[in-house]
Amino acid sequence: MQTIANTLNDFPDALSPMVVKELRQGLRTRMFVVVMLVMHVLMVIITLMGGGAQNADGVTATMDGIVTLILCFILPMPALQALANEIKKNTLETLVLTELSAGRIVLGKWGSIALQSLVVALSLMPYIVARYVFGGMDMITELVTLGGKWLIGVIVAALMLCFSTLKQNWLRGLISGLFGAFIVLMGIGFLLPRMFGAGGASRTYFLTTSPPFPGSGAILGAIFALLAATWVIFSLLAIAATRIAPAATNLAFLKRSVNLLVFTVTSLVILVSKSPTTGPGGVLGGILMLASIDALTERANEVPSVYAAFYRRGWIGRLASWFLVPGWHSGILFSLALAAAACAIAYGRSGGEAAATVWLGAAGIWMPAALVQIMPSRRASDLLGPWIIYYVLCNIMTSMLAMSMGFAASRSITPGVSCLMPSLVINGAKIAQASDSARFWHFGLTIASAWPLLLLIGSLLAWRRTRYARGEAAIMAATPLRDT
Amino acid sequence: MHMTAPHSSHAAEIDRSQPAIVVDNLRRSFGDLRAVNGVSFSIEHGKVVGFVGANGAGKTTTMRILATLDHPDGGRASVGGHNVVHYPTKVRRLLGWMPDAFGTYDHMTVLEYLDFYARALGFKGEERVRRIQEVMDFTDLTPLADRMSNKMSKGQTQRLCLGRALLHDPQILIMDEPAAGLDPRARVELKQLIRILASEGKTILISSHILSELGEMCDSLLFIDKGAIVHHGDADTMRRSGSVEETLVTVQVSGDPAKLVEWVLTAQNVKLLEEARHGARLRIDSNDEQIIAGVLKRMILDGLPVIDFHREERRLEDAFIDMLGQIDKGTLGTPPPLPPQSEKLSSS
Repeated sequence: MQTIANTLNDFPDALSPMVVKELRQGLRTRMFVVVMLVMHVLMVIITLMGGGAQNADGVTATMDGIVTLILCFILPMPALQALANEIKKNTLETLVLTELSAGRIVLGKWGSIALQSLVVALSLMPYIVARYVFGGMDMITELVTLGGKWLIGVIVAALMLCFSTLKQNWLRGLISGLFGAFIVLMGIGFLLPRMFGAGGASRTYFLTTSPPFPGSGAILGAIFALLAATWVIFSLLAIAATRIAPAATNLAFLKRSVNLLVFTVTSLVILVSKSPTTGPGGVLGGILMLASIDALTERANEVPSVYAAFYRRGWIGRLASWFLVPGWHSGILFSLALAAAACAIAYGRSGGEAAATVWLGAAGIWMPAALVQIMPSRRASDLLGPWIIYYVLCNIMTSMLAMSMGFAASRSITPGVSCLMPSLVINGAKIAQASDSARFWHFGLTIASAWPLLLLIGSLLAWRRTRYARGEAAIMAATPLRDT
Repeated sequence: MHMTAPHSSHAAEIDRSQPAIVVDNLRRSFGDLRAVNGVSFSIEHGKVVGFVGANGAGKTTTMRILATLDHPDGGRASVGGHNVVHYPTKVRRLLGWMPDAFGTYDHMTVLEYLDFYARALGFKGEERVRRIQEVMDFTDLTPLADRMSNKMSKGQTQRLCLGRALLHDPQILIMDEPAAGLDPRARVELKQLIRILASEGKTILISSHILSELGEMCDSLLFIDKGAIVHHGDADTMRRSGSVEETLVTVQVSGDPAKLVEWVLTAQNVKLLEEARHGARLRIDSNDEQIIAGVLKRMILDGLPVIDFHREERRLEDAFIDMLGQIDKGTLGTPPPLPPQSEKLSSS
């Protein structure tokens, strides 16, 4: 018994069971051990060989490259298989039957990756101190940069965890391939010039330019970056949790309430701040996009108890259910309401073009969602997979249209065809002839508005399909709660 | 292996004024397929009930709804007095679930595996350690404590699965095909564990394709076909059920068996199935015990030197196939109400 107790008390009870499990597994994997060893060997060599101030830029860029690769790509990537493996091995159901909610399962998996990344990041401290002693580097910048990379890494881990709920193996493979290509391109475009002394933007530049406080200083920028990162991580993990939770769970209420709160607070900050007029649309558009992707890729819930929870709260509950019940059928109403508010704020601060840009940005999310509902994919149990596929196809089509029309080369043609793709309308309007510009905007906005209209029509049918569940819910709400 | 099931202070409260499991007109469809189509039954506390049906009959869907892993389109289901849709958390505390396909984790020992689930179920400190030790002793996993959980045989993995399901000392166990793919020895071990659990008053709903084993273990059997319960009753009733009015007997005689064959040719209601070395297999066109006794009496009165007269018990598999045939012909009536449960296993 004593031996067992020694083995089992290696982690305190206070730590989440999922974190304990993932750490026990994760720290034993060959990848973690190899990454740690290789990274430290390289760091020792680079620090010893590049010591001194004479070649500080090259050493910094090389270390940046290695650390970025490890923290932002190698360590978060296993998250892409984390929930997929649980689903494949049929272990997720046994987890759901414990006291662990879907949210805690997802949070635990993400938390263990974040902790492992933190261990790796902290293990780099001696090299930073050593280089500070050698001279030629700014300690604060180094630490902020390292923290920034860790933050990006944990956001990537949350994104990968979200993608790990996708059932299609090939789609997960494609995502990891695209992500790998992105990292390679980023390395070529950003790190290589610095390694060879070509300079580049300051590594803490993003903190002083973070909207909605551009130019307001690094501390406010850091706070905003942290808050934004927290919300993005929450949103991604909440999407993942929804996708593995039992059908009778209503996570949409929490997710959409948080999104609404973030949207409202950001709107208030924008309205009272003295920031330039270019940022607000982009910030609110970003919130709107992530909130809409989540809301439009949930299957329409048909579990009576989910509706009954709203119906028990009278007419307010019934009204709230139209926006907050799990499923895309209420999600489109939620998304439209946010879009309308974002457009109004962007119009008030920056004018009609900014409002139109927000609307077109939202239409870029609605278009693939509408395609999911128009195509046979509407019957699929998973709507996120088809949405990603249509989104990628839409973007490929956008790129091809943009290239074929030679946007950058010729300003003499008004590219009317570009109105077909919401994300092209903005570029199209910029290169349109001045006399055509207004007409072009109207045409583009009208076509972009067809997608939410299609979704609204589809949602009416989806609401109709939930009629039985809502009828049962009304009966449940009218009778007092009892056990059987 | 400890011969008593472990008990935990973590065990959830159960309402014993109501049956352990109640299913009422349960329905569940997947697109156009009606997987469960109006299933109703109830199981009293402390009973072991076998759930029998062909592949795709609706067993797993019904069990998953009871385990709160799926939701019904209509009807009601309650476990331990709690509605599975309204109070899934309460139900999960009362329930131990063994799925048909059970996965383990890489880079995790048996001990760590059970520790993870014990933590996830809310056990802390010494109670957690004690509980894990009890479960490992009961399922005979102690010698395998340091073995990687994904490097075990199918039988060992099933014991681990059972151990996990027992950690919170559930009063109700739902086991979906627990013996599938096990070798004979592992099957015997699993059966033994289930018997111990049953003898300690746990309610067990167990599905299996091996009907003879279910017949031995269960107080009663539920037969499901095309999403509906078509029969329920104990194994003996099942063997005798249906419209099959015939009895198979094996008769051995002293001396030349040809005398027996000649006698059969002249006898009424008796047909020869096959000749054997010392006798023959016969079919009597009735299952009335008086008529069967009459046949034996006539044999003796006619001077046949009968040394053995053995009535063959109808196999459950045969009874099940006959029942499916009757369903196809539309000659099977409405299933009778669930009979009072026998105390066969509870007292053993």
